[in-house]
This record gives sequence, C-alpha cells and structure tokens, in this order.
Amino acid sequence: MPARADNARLAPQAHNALKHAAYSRAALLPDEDPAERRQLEEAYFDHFDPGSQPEVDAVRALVDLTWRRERINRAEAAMATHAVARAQDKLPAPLLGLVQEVHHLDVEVRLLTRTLELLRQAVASDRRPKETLQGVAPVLDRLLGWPGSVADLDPAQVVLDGDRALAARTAAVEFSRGTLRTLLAAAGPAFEAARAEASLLEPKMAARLLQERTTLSKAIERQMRLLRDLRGGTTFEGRILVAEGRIRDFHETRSAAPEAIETTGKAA
Amino acid sequence: MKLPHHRFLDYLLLLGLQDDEVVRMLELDDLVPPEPAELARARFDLADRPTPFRLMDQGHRPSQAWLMEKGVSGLLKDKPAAREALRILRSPVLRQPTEILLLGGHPPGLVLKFNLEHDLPAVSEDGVAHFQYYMWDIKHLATDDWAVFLRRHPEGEIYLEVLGHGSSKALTVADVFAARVKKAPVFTTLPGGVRGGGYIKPPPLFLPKAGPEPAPCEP
Repeated sequence: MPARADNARLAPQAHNALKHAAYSRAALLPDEDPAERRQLEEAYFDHFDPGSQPEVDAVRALVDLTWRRERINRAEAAMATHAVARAQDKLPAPLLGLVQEVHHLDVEVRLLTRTLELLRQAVASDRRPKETLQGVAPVLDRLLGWPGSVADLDPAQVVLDGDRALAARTAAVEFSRGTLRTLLAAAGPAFEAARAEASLLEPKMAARLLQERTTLSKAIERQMRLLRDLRGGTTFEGRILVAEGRIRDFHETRSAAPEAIETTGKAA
Repeated sequence: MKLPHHRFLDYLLLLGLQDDEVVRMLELDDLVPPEPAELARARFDLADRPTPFRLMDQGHRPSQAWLMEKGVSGLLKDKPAAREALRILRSPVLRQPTEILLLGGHPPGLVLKFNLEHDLPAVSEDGVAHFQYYMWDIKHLATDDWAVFLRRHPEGEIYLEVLGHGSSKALTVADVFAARVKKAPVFTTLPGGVRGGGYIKPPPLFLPKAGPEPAPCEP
C-alpha cells in the first residue's frame, strides 16, 4: 500500500515523472512497502552491527544504495509482469509464464555478455587469455551448454562462437518479447497498460537500466570498502569520518549534559 | 542463513556479477540463492582484497594468496578436481546421491564406492572432495543453519531426515535416489541436432516404509 506518511513532504509534482521510478533517488516511493525497507535495514544492521555513528551512517548509505539497486531489478521485472499480474485472472497461464521467461532470458543474456566481455578484453589485450578463460569457464559452460568444457578450447574461438550464441539469444529474447507484446495486443484493450509496460523492455531501456545498476553496484562496492576501512581505520577518508563522528558525539554529549562535562574537566 | 555453496557464491561475486545475475546463475545450477542482505554480507567479506588485485593473473602472488585464503582459487584455475566437482553439481544422476551421502557423514571414498556399485558415472575421490569443498560444505553449517537452509531446499524434508538419522539412513535414501535417477531418461542433444541439454525431471520420491528407525546419531 502507498506509504503516504513517509512521502508526505514530497510535493505532488515530485511524482510526475514516476512511470517505473527505476532512477529515482527517493528513499521510499509511494508504491514501495516501508515494512520491506525496514526489514532490509534491520537485516543490514544485524549483519554489520555498527559500533559508532560513522559506521551507522555507512550502513545506512549501504541500505539506501542496495534498496535503489533492488528498485531497478524490481522495475525491470515489473515493467512486464506488473500490469499482466493485475489482470491475472483474465490471462492464460502460458502468457504469465512467458513474462517470467523473458525476464530470465534477459538476465542470462546479460550474464553471457558480461562474461564474454571479460574474455574479449583479455584476448584483445593479449593479457592472460587462457587463464581468463579458465577463470570464467564454470559460468560459460553453464550458459553455453556446449559439450565438454570451454576451458579446453582456444580463447579467441570461444569469443567468436560465444558472440554468435549471444546474438542468437538476444534475437530469441527479442522474439519472446515481441510474442509477448503481440499476445497482449491480441488479448484486447483490457491489456493496453500491460502492452505499454512490456514495450519498455526494449534494448535501449535495458541498456540504460544496466548502466544505472552498474553505477549503483560500484557505489555499493565503495561503501563496503569504506565500512571496512572505518573498522580498520586505515584510509584517510575512513579516519576523517571516524574523527567527525567523535566530534559529533562530543557535541551531542555536551549539549545533553554541559555540567557533567565541565565537572569532569575540572576534575581532570 | 549460511549456505553450503558459499565458496561458489564467492567465486561468482568475484567475477563481478550483479546480484540478480548471481541469483540467476545459482538458480540455473539448482542452488538455493541467498537473500539480498546475505549477498551484501558476502560482498562485504570480499572487500578486503589486496591492491592492486588481479583476479585472472595466476602469477600475481598477493592476489593468489588472497584467493587461496578465500578458498576459491581452484575454480579459477580450472583444476581437474574442480572440473569434476562442477560435473557432479550439474549431473542429474550424480548430484543427489553425492549430497545425501556427504550429508550423512560418509567420506568421499564411500561415495566413489557407491557410484561404482550403482553403475553411476565415475568420478574421482578428489572430485567428490572438491564438490564438498565448493558446493556442499557441510562443516560450514551448524544444525540450526541446516534447518533454516533446508526449509528453502526443494528436497529439504528428505535431507533433514538424513541429517537427523545419520549415515545408515543416508545410504538407504541415496539408494532410492540412485534408482530413481537411473530410470529417468537423460539426453544431451535436443531433437534435430540442436546443441543443448537437459533431463526429464524424475518422478517424485516415495521413500520405502521402513521398520523402527535406528537411534539418531551425529552426521
């Protein structure tokens, strides 16, 4: 249900651009469940058990970033499934299965693209292509399903054949997506919204979502490092944050009980 | 929730995969995917890598030492035993009996003997040991962790029973599983010569009604 209370301060026009909200920086969107968000936050706080204010801030930032990345995943899946799911009782089961399948295929194509890219870079720069192929072989074997292991093949050949397989799969995803749209169109005007949302899964949109997801993943990675550094206090940035936290703690304590500190000071 | 395939998960994370890609990859291998917070925790544990970090450079000592410490270097180096471990993971006939026997506390050597006795494809003892290390790390989970993990496992109830009753039960259940998977048709080439693979899911398992159960013992 909409979390009106949490977004009460946002002006109504702030939600004008909310079509799927994948790029929104808001902590909580109207259609997001505050309980789910709270649950994620609790899970993170339980896991990381922050001991100081800077650590608390770092964990909170981590939760924000992770929530935003989850939002992209959700938006991507929701684009095709949400509107369809609303009309679930009127839609035949194979159509719903197709929606799910399109999403799975999409993730698999992304996986294959990423893994082949690692290998392509190694081959192009001639930097340990064989070792790289060995490193990614468990994933490629699963995705490509060729007989034997790709680790036994020539890396350049794997890139070439892999690209062909990738092109075939991308075409298959496009085909499935097209079928989905056609089926939705054939289902009648009741599924106009579903068709519009399904059409959002076009390559340009998928690439933009991927870029946004990568940016957030990098930010999460940085935040993780920062958190680790805060605990170890090794980097300059980490030490600054620790110092800032201590100053803030000191001010808070002083504003809470000035006499106590003065007394302690005199005693010292 | 702790996962017995935590090292395989670490390996996927080290390749730089996104969360949903990691989850999909685990799903493709019929492994239980972690919750988002657990995934974040796993990422956090991998954040202390040395600088510079060269994942694929087998000659870079600091990176290799770190990978060995994390226990994932075998998967990156394509060791024969690690390849066999992946074969067990992806084999519809080998995986379940192997998991059950290891869960029951049997050593890899006995798994090998069991496979030979039941005409299952041959794998080396080292391969089974590597499977245990990367994908079925039973020592990583305490009894409570198993209870939580098996709640999300498709064969959770049966595995839980094996866990509760120890090695003899493991042998009985592995026998049933081995017989069941041998009956299921397995094919590696799709009709029309299309490369690919798959298997028809075996029928649901019905354990034979046994007499009085032996006293529970530790796995």
